[in-house]
Amino acid sequence: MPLKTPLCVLLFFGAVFTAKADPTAQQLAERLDFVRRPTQSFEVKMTITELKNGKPEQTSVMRVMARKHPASTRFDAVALCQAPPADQGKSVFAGNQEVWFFDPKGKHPTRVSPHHFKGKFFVSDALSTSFNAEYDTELDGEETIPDASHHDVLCLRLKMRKKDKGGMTPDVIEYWVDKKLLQPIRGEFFTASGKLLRTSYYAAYAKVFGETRPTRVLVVSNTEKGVITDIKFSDFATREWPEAMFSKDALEKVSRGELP
Amino acid sequence: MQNLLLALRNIGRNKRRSLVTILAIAVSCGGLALFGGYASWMFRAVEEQTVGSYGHLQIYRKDYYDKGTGNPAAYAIDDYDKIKKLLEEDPVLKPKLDLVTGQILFNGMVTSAKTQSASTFAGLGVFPSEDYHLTEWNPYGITRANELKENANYFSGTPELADDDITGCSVGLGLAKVLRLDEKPEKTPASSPAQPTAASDPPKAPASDGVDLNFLTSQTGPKESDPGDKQSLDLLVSPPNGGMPNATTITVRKLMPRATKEMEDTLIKLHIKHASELLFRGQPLHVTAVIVLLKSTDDTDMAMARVQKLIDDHHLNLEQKRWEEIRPFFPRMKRMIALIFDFVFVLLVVMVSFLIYNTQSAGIMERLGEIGTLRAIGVTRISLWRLLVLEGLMLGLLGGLLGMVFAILGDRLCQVIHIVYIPPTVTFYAKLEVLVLRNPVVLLQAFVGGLLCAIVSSALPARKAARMEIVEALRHS
Amino acid sequence: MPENPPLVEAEKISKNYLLGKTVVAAVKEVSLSVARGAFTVISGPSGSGKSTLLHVLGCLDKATSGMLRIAGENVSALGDHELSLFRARKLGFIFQSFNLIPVLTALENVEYPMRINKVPHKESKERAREMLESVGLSEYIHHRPTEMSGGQCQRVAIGRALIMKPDLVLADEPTANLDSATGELIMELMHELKRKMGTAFVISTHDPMVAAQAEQRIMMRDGKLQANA
Repeated sequence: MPLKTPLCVLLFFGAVFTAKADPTAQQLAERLDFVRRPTQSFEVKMTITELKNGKPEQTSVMRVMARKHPASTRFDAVALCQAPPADQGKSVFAGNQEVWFFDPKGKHPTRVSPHHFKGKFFVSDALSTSFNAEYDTELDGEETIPDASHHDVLCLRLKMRKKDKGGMTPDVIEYWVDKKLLQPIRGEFFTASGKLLRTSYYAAYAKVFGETRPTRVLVVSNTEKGVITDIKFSDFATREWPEAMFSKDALEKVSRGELP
Repeated sequence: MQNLLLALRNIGRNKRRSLVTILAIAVSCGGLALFGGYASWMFRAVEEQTVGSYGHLQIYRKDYYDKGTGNPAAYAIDDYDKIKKLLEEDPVLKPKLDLVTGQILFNGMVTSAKTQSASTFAGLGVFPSEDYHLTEWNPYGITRANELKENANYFSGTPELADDDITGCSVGLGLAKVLRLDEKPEKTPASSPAQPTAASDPPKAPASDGVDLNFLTSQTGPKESDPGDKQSLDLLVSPPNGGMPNATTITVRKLMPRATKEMEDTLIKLHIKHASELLFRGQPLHVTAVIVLLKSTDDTDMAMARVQKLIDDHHLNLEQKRWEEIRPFFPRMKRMIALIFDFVFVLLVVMVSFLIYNTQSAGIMERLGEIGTLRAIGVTRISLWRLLVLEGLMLGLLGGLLGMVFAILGDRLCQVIHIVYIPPTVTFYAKLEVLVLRNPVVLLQAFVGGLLCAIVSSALPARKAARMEIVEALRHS
Repeated sequence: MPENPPLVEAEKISKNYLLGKTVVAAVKEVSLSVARGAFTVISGPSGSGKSTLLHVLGCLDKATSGMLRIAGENVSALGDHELSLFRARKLGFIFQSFNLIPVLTALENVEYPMRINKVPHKESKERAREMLESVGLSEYIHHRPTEMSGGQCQRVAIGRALIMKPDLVLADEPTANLDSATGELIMELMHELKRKMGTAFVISTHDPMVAAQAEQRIMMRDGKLQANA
């Protein structure tokens, strides 16, 4: 089961802009933040397909619910797995810099340690991460690169370096943003020592919550040959969630389907 | 002592029987001595490897031993330099010290950058040249048997890490297997962009919302200039002070066998500075243990008492453990061997006693007439008894001495024959020795045991003879 | 003749054996005396108790009842340890089968009683040598019993019996294992030494040649004294 799920909501909210002319690095980072984190609680459906050498191997469906904290820009997220049947009912809670996992066959939720997220899929405590606050961003010129459909696009290149090393988010990120449309095209994620962990290609841009965002992210593994994780977002909706639902103790109810 | 000559001559009466008895005693005594010698050798091998890994004494922060095993780094010592100085300059300890060094023990998760195999690991941060010196401790010449060709893979004669190699590490053999450090990265068939796509793939992008999966698949896997091609390991640890995990990447320099299987399966050795920085980011050097290596293991008691005094006098918040306590298996093994030894000893004593009793009984029965005569001409009961017991004693003495000769020959034979195997709980090959000559206590025990048993078991038939009626005995002339 | 107290005084000596469950009275209330330096022979048919009597007189066996005095010592009252010491000092024994210690040489056999009596080594060696000379075996001092004839062995035995100059020598069938010629020689030797040393001899025998030499004859029958001449 892709535990990573609620966290890859980062992808979804990554680097989305409205059209603006020649922004600076700082402004871009700010814009990223603003667009990544909507101003309200919401829910979305994620369909995750794992591909090996172009062929789908496993597909999961997750329902992700995110609640924004009233006073800050932080979000907590709860994700419920709806498919495949073997994983159905499993749920994850991400918030307060913790991640908890619950399997309905067990009795208690277990805290998930960071090592579960290493490797195959990237890690991020997405919604609370502020690119602006936690990364030093600099504009590194322009470059023409192929996008997810293998067409060349002229992009602005951003280099982002984490201010405080360590933790679960990547230490170094390189972003390519469409110069004209200011949409994210590609992101590369590195460790502090410069090792490339994964590359994200964005596609299927559509209007969501008043903004044009990519609704599909293809995560290309740079450690394992032939491995791609294809994530599609759909069924967006804004919702007001009760606070009680966003805790590890609520996971049992969530798994049983007792959702408001 | 004329009686001695008489006793010897009496033994010589039935040469075959006496010889068999003497040989049986010799084999028992000799065998026991050899077994004891083997046990001594084994203990020394384990001692060498244990002290060579852990030192003679380890000094920790107080409560480390009880509470720190789950998270050693949480019980770290931050004034290592001060403690080291204190130990090295103490007038009582100084002449007995070989080395004082520090280590950090910690645990976390490790992932091979190349193969993405992951595992938990135990990390040991060391001062490389000091650590090398520790592992080179070899007073008995058993385990660091560099010259053995069987150990050629293990010992290169150089330290595992260099003192200035901050980002290097050495990995235990078992762990290396788990992390698949020897494997080449997977090759995927349709991955190289230079290859023409197969006929089944249409030249246009496959129907997938305009996404070109072939192109994307070709982008998977490490890039050529990726530093991940090296044998890199990504470590993830929880800092003892709480907070987000810390990560680092280190490079594998060597794969090493270790003193125990557990160590081989989990240990990564790296530079102590790197380990300290990983766990205590931005803080001065911490250690979890101060290691004391002495010149001789015999000084352990004295050293331990002295260290305790220093701890008490300076009100240091420290505790210490000695090498046998760190590796509790060792004293248990020692006890087990001692038990087996005692059991075999008792067994042999019983057997030899029966044999001597038998021999002496037979001998006395054959000489009743003579015994009667001796009594007749005025030999007292007690004198007669002493004479007969002396005969048994002589058998025991001769057998014991011969046994000692056997044992010494066995020792020499082992030296010459060159049997090489892995002693229990040690992970290197060693040349088998039976330390008969270096451990005279065992020889003595076997010898004295033989003597005592000869005396006791010949006392009984002697007593019977002495108590016999003279006239009755004379009848057998 | 000066009034000498007898060397051996036996009063109503009885000796009983337990044979299975039966009590056998081997010697029944025998009283006798032997003078110093006397040559006494005990004779009688087999089962007459003569051997038993000899053993009792030689302190090899304790009488069941009665009193026995030898050289003024009430041996009936002595314990086993004291008896051993007494035998070593005051008595000598000669046996039918010579009873020499086979692993010792002739010299060492004769020396033995002196060792028991803690005579210093140099002296004992010298005396033993002299004794063997006087029995005519100076050539054989380093021979073992297996290397000597019956007669030679018995001579060594005699030497051993007399080396401590005992008051009394007891001999049990001394000539039984010797041919008549050798037997005569042995008896001659005994007489010779008796003359020299004044030792009393008590001999139990079947041999009429020996019996004929007796100064005092003791006849035994069914455990009782028959005559005392």
